[in-house]
Amino acid sequence: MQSADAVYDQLNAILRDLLDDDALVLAPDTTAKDVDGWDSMTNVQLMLSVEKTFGLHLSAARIAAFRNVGDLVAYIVENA
Amino acid sequence: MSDRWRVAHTEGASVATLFENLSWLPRAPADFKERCRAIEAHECPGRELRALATHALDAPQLGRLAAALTRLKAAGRSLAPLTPFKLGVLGYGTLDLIVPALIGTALRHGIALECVTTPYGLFAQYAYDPTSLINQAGCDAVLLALDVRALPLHSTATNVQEAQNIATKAADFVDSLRTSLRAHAGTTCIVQTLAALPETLFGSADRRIPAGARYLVDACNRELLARLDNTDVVLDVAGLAETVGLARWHSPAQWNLAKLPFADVYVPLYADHVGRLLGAMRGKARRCLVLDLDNTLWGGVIGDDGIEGIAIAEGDPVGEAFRSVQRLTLALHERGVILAVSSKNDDAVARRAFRDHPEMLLREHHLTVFQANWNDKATNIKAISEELSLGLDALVFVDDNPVERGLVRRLLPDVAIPELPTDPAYYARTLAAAGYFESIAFSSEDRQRSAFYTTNAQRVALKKRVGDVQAYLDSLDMEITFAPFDEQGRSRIVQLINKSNQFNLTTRRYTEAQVASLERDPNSFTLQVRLTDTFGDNGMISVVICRAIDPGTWSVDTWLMSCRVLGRTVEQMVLREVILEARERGISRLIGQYIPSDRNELVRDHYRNLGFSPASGEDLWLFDTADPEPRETMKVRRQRHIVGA
Repeated sequence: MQSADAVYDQLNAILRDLLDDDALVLAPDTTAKDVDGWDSMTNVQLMLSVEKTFGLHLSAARIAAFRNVGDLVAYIVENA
Repeated sequence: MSDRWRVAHTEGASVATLFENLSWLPRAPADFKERCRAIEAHECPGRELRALATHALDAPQLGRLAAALTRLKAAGRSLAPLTPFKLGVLGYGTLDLIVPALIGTALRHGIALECVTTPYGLFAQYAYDPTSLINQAGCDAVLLALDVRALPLHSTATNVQEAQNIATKAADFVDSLRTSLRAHAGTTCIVQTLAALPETLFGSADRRIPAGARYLVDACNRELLARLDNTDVVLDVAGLAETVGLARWHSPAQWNLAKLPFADVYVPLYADHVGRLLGAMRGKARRCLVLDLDNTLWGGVIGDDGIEGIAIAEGDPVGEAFRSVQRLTLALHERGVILAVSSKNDDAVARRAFRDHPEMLLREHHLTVFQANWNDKATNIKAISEELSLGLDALVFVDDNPVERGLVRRLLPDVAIPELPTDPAYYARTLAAAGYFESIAFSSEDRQRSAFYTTNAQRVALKKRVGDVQAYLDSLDMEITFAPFDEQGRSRIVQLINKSNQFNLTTRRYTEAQVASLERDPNSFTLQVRLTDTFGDNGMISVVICRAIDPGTWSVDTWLMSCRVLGRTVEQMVLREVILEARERGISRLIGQYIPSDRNELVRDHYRNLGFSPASGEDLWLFDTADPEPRETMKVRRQRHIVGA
């Protein structure tokens, strides 16, 4: 099991890479609309990267249920 | 067979993920992102983009390259030597992931790609409408990225004719897009074959009965191919999906989530296949294959193991691996690829395998240029390219040795050089997977092309040396380890003493017992030498035995080295070590001897090159240890000598 901090570090790295923005910092209550450029395609890429990075599968229902970054991190911490 | 398989290097291309990871390409450099960001500052950004693209990149990295290309275009920078190409992309599903990957990948194939796309789901409207962006953009080609889901292939057929009608209707639809694009945009179409879905209805019968999904897909693919003419180009997605597995190619979750037409992990592979086609359409496919010999074309080192000792026999699992390489090479030759050899070997010894070995598939008459010598391979490959009047970007170089690959990559970056897995059984597959010789058509002229070049395995004289070999050696971060003979090293020492033929000054053979006794002989000085570099551990690569014959004099009884580390200043470092140790022990004179054999011509001038002076008779050479020692060219580690303990 990974610590939430470690998961945040990796998510920051993935999203910084996707959006080419090294200053990006995710918080538990961050949502896609808070971040410039985080559109639906970015979201798909983020989910695919999360699957690859943490070795888990995210079903469509699961993805739809994430309300914010905090939900995603909690799921990864629990399941990765 | 031991030392050749010993290289502890584990960075070899992964066999399991060969296609998914494009394992024939080297890993991306650590500063990939920074180099992309700094592209505007580069003096030749087109060349830099191509260099960056020639790594195994994932979709985000390819997107980064695409973005860098866009910035350069916006700034009006020259993209030479890249060739511009405008590609329309019409497809079913989401192409947003694919398009940046196509642009990033095309750079690898020498193409500065611009893509013209349509809004989601409007591919047919855009193809039919003469005023649409696709039809007005002046595309050089249009990629029809359609898959089974885009076509009316739902079978209700109860007989062959009904099934054929369904297949015909689907192919008619694709055809209508194609003819419309040709009429309105005057452009070449790249038509995809269809990858069947892994789900079957009837099981095995799906392929056989007209109601089966696979039956229909097969029929439709045949129809699609039958309608194409010479100006059309095929992208065999069906073949690609079969290669990696239909169940891996099609991801139902990703289709549902984002309408991705195939699993995202294959975007780089798909893009590379498109890139190869674009390169081939612009005459950029490779034309000449340059081959290393030892452990690339046969197993073993012919100079040491002899013609009877190399592994190339049918029925021998090691030999079979190399037969596969020869078989593929021969097949490429038959379709017009020019073959050449670049090997560190004695010319006569290397040629003997081609002339006299009964199991060799390749013969001298298949080869146009034959470079077997002890010079660096970059210089040799440059000479091959000049002799054939082919650009370096037409050449592919295959070598099992990562250091040789690294050298040629650094000095001649335009040459394509596949990374190879550690198991030679996968060499042929890896070379084929890299797709260097992509061809959009095959004619009898192609077949004859290699005949335009005389295939007499000629030897080409070397001209100026290419580039700075020393700078490359410095970048290898070599570390040499010296130790006296000991029990741990003994069996390897015995093996080297009894099988090294080429770099072996005296070819004296010793038994294990004799070597063991040297470990405690106060009148002997022994060295076992190991070498590591950025590519890994080369293991024990040199052995020296000196015997005190007169007070103050050492006679170099044995000096041998693996040819794998030739040209890396190892012999200078070994001499340096011997001199330093000799001085410590009050030895003022070294006597070297060269005993010619039929295999060690390579070291005839060894002592002369190292600054020894000739003594009278018997090929003896002298060195005064008061003379300066060779300079240190790499990091040194010493394990303690316990002489006469």
